[in-house]
Amino acid sequence: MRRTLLVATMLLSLGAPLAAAEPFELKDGDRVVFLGNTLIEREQKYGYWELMLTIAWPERNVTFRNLGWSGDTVWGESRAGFGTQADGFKALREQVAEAKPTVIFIGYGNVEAFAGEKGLPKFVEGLNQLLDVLEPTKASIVVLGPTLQNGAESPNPNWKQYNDDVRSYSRAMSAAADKRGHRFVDLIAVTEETSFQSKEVLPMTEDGATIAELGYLVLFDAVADQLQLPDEIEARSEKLFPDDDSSPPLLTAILKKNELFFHRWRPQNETYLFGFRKHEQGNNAKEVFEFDPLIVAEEKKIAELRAKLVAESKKADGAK
Amino acid sequence: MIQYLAAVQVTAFEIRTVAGFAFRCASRLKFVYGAALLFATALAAPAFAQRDLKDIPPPEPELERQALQLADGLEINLFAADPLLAKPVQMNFDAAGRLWVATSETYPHILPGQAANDKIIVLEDADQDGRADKTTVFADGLLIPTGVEPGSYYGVNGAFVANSTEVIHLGDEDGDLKSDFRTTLLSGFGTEDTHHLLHTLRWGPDGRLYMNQSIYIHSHIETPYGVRRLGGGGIWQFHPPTHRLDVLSRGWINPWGHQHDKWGQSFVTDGAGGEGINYTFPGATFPTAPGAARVLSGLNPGSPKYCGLEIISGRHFPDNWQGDLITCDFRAHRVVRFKLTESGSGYVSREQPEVIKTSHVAFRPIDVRLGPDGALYIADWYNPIIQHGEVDFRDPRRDHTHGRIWRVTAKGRAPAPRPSSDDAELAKTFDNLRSPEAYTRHFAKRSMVDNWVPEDLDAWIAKLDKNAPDYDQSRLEALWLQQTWDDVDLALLESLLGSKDHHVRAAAVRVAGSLVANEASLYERIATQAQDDHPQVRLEAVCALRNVATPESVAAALQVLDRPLDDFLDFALWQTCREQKAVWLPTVLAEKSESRLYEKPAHLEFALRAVDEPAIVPPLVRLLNDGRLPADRREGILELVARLGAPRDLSMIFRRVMESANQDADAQLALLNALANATTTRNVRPDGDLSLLEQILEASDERVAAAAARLLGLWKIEQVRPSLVRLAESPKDPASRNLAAVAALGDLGGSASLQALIKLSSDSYSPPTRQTAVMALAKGYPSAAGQAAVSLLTSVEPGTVDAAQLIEAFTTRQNAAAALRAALADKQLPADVAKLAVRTARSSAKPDEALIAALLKAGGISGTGLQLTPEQTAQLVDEIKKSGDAARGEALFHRKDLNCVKCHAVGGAGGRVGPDLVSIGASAQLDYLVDSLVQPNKAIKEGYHSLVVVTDDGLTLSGVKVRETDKDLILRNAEDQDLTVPLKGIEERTQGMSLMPAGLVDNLTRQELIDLVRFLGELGKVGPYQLKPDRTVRRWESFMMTQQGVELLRRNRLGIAATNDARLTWEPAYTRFDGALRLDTLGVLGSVKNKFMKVPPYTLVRFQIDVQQAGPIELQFDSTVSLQIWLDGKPLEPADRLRIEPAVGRHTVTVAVDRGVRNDRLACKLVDVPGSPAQAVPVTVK
Repeated sequence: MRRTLLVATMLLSLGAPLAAAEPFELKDGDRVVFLGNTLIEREQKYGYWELMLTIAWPERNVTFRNLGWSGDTVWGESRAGFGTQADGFKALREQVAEAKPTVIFIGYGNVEAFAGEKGLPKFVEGLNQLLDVLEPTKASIVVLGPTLQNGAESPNPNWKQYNDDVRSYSRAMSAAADKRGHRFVDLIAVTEETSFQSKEVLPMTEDGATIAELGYLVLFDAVADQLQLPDEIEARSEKLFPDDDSSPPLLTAILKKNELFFHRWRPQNETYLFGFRKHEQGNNAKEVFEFDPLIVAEEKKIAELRAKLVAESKKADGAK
Repeated sequence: MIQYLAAVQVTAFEIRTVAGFAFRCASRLKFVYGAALLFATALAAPAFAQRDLKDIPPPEPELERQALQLADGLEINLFAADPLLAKPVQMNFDAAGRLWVATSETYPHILPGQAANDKIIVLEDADQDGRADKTTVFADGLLIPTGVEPGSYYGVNGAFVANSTEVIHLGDEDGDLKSDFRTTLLSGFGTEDTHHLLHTLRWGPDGRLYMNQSIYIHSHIETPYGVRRLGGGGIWQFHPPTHRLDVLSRGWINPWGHQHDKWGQSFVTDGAGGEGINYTFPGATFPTAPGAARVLSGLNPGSPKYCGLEIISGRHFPDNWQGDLITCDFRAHRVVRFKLTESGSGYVSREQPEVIKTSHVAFRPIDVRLGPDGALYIADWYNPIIQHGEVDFRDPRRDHTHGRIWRVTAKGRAPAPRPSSDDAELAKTFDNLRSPEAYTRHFAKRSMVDNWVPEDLDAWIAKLDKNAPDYDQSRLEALWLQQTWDDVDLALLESLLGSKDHHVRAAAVRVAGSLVANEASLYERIATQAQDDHPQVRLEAVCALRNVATPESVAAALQVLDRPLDDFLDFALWQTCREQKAVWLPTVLAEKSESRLYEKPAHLEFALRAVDEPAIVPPLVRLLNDGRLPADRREGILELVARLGAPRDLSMIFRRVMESANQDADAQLALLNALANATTTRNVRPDGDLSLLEQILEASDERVAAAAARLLGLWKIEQVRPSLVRLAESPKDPASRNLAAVAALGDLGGSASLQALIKLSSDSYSPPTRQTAVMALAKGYPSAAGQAAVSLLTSVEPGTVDAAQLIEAFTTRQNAAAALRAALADKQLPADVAKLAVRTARSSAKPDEALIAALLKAGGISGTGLQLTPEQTAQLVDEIKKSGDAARGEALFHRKDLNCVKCHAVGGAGGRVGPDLVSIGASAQLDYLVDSLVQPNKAIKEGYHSLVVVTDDGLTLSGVKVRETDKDLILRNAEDQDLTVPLKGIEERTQGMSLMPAGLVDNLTRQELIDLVRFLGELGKVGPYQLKPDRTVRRWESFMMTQQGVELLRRNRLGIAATNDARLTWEPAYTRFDGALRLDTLGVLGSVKNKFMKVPPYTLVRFQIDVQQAGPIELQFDSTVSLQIWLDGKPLEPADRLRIEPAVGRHTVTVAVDRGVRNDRLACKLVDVPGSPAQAVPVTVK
């Protein structure tokens, strides 16, 4: 993993803040929810976005819940289980509500864009419907745009057409976010860059489309740039990753917490625990709630590691 | 009415039984309870299903080995065991001959606070002595990895692993057999049930990775080509280099076995299905696929639940094993073998004697692979407890630490030569493509996945001997290697499409189908192959043509109709027409006569039928009118128009009904029923004056007149009410038309109908008329109906009304049930009537407890039913072991009042409502069986939960979901009838409980209960209750003594029973486990002796056989003493070994037994005639 991080931290050069919008900020006590498709779901296994957002304000207690689900859409299709699309959307609402967010990052559009121009009006309607139900949570919402396929790597012969469609979906998302006063992060520009559009030894995508580990770091660059995140992230992240091949304890703790939360909100055997066969094994559902204290304990560990980071940086400042 | 008489006699018998034994039973239970009190301070036994299992065997592998009984000529040794590995789930070999095993100690569910630490283990037999001498943990920290298949990804060796929601590649860059690089390839697989997770990873000959998922799983996978979703069981096909992901086929419950044969054809086993080996091909759909309008069945109906699949190949096993399929009956601790024979476009599969059987309760074979030495390796999950749906996740007896790999070899035969693991010499590797061992051929291809050397391969092909018998097969292997590389040489493909061997042509067509989307030149070749001489090739062509989205492509597929179809080919063509609907239907609707689809009416008809929606009506009508259809096809099309058409189309049907009056009664009836169906399911009726139908009330055919009466009611034709009333009132002994008129008044409605029905329900009419009137009232006039029902039930002779049917008319309607309950207040019912009514009420969709209480009170019977404490169950289990008598239990199982066989089959013989119990004893513990009998809702088998549906016309229906198409929900009710409920008409659906009503065993004596459970407990265990894989006829039908039928037989010769006369009715009769019918349980047609004729007392039975391939075959009767036998109505000369030569299709064998002479048993089985090509099986399901 080490090699990817070296490259990543090198790439992490923050651009000049945009003059117009207020810089994005996470406040003490914020609960961030990541909601979306494969892009969001796989973030929890790498943890880079969460790590970077954590060290942006290490003195603030911010907690994260990843509600990504592969193949999901603004209609909550992947969350339907045995039910209909409407059930999927209902599940999405419930999952978000239960996570009690104050900030929501939503990452959709790449699955929907396969429907092409014809599917765009329906998608915009779906996105607005999603925002309609998310806004009442009063959380501030950040809409992440979709990513382009890598023309040099994609096995899909129609990748060009798809990328054109992704561009128009992205524009539509940006317009919808704008209209409703939400922040929008464009991921077209960053995925148009050479690193995303060529054959690399360390590829940004797994298959020409799905973002790979390194890609998450590069995408975060765009996120940080557009949200005007604090410049200190760069120096702090460099310090976090030691020269040996080990993973920073803070990242390890974040990943551990994410795994525990995954068992809590997307447990295996759902059919027996909460579904139509709960009369047989529903007695074991109580175990699922036993993950709550384990998640709290892991977050305590994260808080301690943050505190350590703050103390270290104060010490460093003092030394100066 | 006869049916009903039988039911009441049963009830009377029941009452006697109960009266005789109730006291003793109750006092015994009291005794048991008293005894239990003594132990009241002891801990209550855990309340889970397999708690009886207390004798956990000692885990020594040698003890287990000694308990394994091998087939003749085989021996077994331990290859590897715990502690080297624990809980093996799936295994696959690599090119170096090492065995990779996915293992899970975490299964069934991660414990909070526990780290998931499941492993991929590599077992190596370096000294090749048949025992693993080295174990390496390749990867750990996994969460229930349910599949592992070694292979490289982008040049990095390692393994593909199914890891809960993902498919990952674990890479080993430095070659130390430790995973050091992890790539997530696919994510979004469902985890709704951990024994359903993605599993059975298997390379196909085409270089695709095949992966299976089970029924509860819903997967949502993003790929560069778009999202792929699959809900339910199915097989994924994944090509790692291009990330192309598709679904090959779907619709199983737990497809835990999948293997390709030598020619690339796919076979599948299902760990919860009931039909043995399944043959599958692109687009094949099996019964549990959500939304499937049509499905295929497996090759061995009545042979349930297998895990893993391997096909014997290679020199180590004897010749007569080659090509045989080996799979594992993990429930009954058996490893089994099936022999396949090609038949048409598909196969016939026959079960052979077991490879392994044992009574060792922890032997759980779950995967089976041929190794590098040609021996058969068997993964043994080793667990006395299986399942986590019915058995608690945390059951302390669940084993988490053991596991074995067994190695089965043929005695005295040399191991197969191992392929060299040194693949430096490519030429040698190419030669391995010609090996007789599938193992070697497979790894020859795998070892070259990353060595793209097309010129070398071409050179090797060029040097092959063109006259060698395996020339084309060798070139097919080369073609598959090219396909793996995504670099197919079209000239080679072209040449193989013209092979003399149909297997090669079929495989080549499939390859062509995978390329045709980008290689248009292949289209013509595939289209030609739709007219191939061999049906297997035609089937592949029909599937491949789906990849070309043009109307011509569908027209080309339809050419297969010019030759005989079979089920598989018919299905494949139907699927092609249906999937391509958007492509071809518009051209037909636009009436483009130049379309090839119009060339042959039969072709167009097939395609239109496949679509089956209202849009096809205009072209159907056009077909009817253009005069090119043969007369015998017209009626079927008219019916289809009636089913789908608009009012003006229905008017055309209506005119035809009126014009054809008294001509062809069967055809007329079919159309009338279709019109009724259009009204009830779609609320569509013909335009115009429908009162003309009144004339048909006078039709000479009783059924036609009855159908007309029903329609007049459904259409609410007011002016015919007087005729209906007159008909309803007429005779003392009402015929169908009279009763239909009574029922029609209910549909017709209005106060005049109400008055008429109230009158008809009074005691001046016959009981059947009264019953029909009450049921008609229940539809619209609940309070009148309630009172009339009570008055009917209290006033008639027992046996003259069908109380169960009557009560059902109330329990399916909430307001009617309430009215009946109110009417019952302070009334008394005969106890036997009340009992039947209670049983009906209990088996209804939502048992109405208040109504049940009212019925019990009115009948003066106690309704508490049998209830057992854990201690009482334990004591009962002890007694079952000590004094249970399986033979007596079996007799009870077949007894009419218990009616177990009505819902449960044993080895395919019996109803289809509940699970087949063929090996229930081997998989379930006695206490679980007791619980299931006493409290059917406590633990319900997968797939047997009922669905409760409320329709928009107020009916509440319940049944087990058979399947759900895009239009209809098909439910199987407790009567083993399939109900088709239009999805549009469903207002509410909820999960119900078991269809097995509580209280079924309340009327048994304690000893009877003990015997019954003992019988169930023996099923599938080694001994007399383990089914032998022969073709004994287990499902017969017995002649029902209806008045009409009996008269018909008396007036005619006996042989009329052997014809398909619709006036004769038959009911299922199942054999005992030993394969014989018990004649004394069957009805006797009384003897006739007068001056004209002398007929001895007869029992009439019949069975059907399915002939897939024609040729001589023998019917072997246990004895032909006093039998008369007919085949399809033609008498046969009785012989113990009766040789027949039926054509392909379904045939009926009818047997009359002279009961004056023979009263014990009757058995028959199908036996092959040596050298005959015939393929025939008895029909097991209706």
